[in-house]
Amino acid sequence: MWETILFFSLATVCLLIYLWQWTSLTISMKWIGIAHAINTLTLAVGTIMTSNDVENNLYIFHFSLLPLHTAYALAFYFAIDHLLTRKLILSSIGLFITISLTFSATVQPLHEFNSYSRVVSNLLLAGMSLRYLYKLFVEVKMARIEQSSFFWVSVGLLFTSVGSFFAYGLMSYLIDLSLYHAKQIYALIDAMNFLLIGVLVVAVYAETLFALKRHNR
Amino acid sequence: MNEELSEVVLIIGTGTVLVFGLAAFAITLIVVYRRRYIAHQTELSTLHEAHQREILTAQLETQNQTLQHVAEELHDHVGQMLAVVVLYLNVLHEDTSGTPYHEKVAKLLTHTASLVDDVRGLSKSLSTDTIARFGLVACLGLEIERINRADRAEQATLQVLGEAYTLGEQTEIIVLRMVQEALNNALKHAYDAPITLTLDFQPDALTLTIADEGPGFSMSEVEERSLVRSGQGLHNLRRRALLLGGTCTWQTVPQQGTHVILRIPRPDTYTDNSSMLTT
Repeated sequence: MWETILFFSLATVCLLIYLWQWTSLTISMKWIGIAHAINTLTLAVGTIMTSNDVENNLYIFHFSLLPLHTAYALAFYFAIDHLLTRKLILSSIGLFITISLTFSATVQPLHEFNSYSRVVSNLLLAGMSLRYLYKLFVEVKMARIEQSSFFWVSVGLLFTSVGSFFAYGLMSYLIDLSLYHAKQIYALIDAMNFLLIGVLVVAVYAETLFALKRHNR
Repeated sequence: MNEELSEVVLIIGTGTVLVFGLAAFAITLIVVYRRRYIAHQTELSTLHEAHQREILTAQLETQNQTLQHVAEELHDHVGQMLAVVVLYLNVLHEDTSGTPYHEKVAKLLTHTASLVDDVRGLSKSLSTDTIARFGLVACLGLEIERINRADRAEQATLQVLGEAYTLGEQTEIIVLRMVQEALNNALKHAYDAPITLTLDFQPDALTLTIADEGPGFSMSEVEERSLVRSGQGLHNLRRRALLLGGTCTWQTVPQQGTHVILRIPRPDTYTDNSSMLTT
C-alpha cells in the first residue's frame, strides 16, 4: 500500500508542476503532461476500483492505453522536425489503435491484461525516442544537451519503454506459469513508473530553468 | 508479511538499479554528445577559417593583379611618355640657350626628371615582379626612399637586424603590401614625424616594426567607431597576418606615437598556410 501512496503523491506533485508551468511549456512538453495526466488518472481509477472490490478493472487499461500512446506519439510528432518521421508517427498512431483494438477483441479480451498492446506501444515509443536522440546527435545543434527538456523525456521514455517491453513480455509468459513470479515482474514495471515520473520532473525543470536563463541572457 | 517484505526489497532494489542505470545511460549520452559537439564546432571553425583564407587569398590575388597592371601601365605608358617629354625638353633646353626662357626650361626639365623617377619608383613599388627579383628588404628600402624623396627630407629610416632570409615570394608580396599600408597610415596620421621601419630577422620569425612619433590614437576609441567612421586598415592587417600564420599588434598611446608590430613566422617553422598562398 505504501508504494501506491508514494506513487500517487509523486505523480500528483509532477502533475501540479506541469500545470503550474503549463503556459511556458512547448507543445511537445504539453503533450507529455497530458500523457502523464492520463496515466495517473487511469492508475487512480484502477486503484479506487480495486479498493472498492470491483472484480475486474482491466478493461480501463485497454481503453486508456489508446489516448496515452497517442499523447506520447504526438509529443514526438511536435518534437521531431522531420517531415517523413512526422508522417510515420501519425501513421503509427492509427496503426497502433487498430492493432490494440484487434488484440482487445481477440487474443487479450477486455477482462485480461493487455500486455501485447503494451509491448507494441513500448516498442513504438522506444523507436520514437531513438529517432529523436539520433536526430539530436546528427544535427549537433545544442551546446548543452542536458538543457533540452525533450532529451530527458526521450532518455526516460527509451529506458522505461525498453524495460517495460521486456517486463511485459516476460509477464505475459509467466502469468500462465506462475502468478507469484508474474507479480514480481509487475513490481519492475512499478519501478519503471516511478523512474518515469522522476525523469518527467527533471524535464520540466530543464524546460523552465534553462529557458528562463536563455531568456535572461 | 514475509512476502510483502520481499516485494518491498524487490521494488527498492530494482528501483535503485534502474535509477543508476538510467543515470549512467544519460551521463554517457551527455558525454558522447559533448565530445561530438566539440568535434563538430572544431570542424566548423576549421572550415570557416579555410573559407576566410580562400577569400583573402582571392582578394590579394585580385589586388596584386590590379597593382601589377597599374605598375605596367605606369612603366610602359606614362613612363615612356615622360621619357619623350624629357627628350623634347632637352632639345628645347639646348634651343633656348642664351634666351630668357633657358632657366625656366631647365627647372621644368629638373621637375620632369624628378617626376620620371617618382613614376619609376611607384611602378617598382606596385609591381610584384620587383619583389621576385630583388626581395623584401630591397623593396622596403625602395619604399623608404620613395617616402623620403616625396618629403624632400629624411623622415623615414630603415633598420635591418639579424641575417636576412626569404619568406617566399607570395608571403613577401603580402608582407610588402601590409608594410605599405602601415607606412601610409603613419604618413597620414603622423604628418612629418619621424618614422622607423625595423626588420628583425629572428631564427623562427621576422618581426617588422613600423614606429612613428606621431600623435598616436586610442585603441578603444577606434574599436568603438561607428560603421561610417570606421576604416578597414587595422582589421585587414590583422587578417592578413593571420593568413600568414603570424600576428599583427599595435602599441599606441595618445600623443606618444604608434608601433605596429608584424610577426611573420619563417616558412620552415610554419607550413599550415603556405599551400594556400601558391597563387
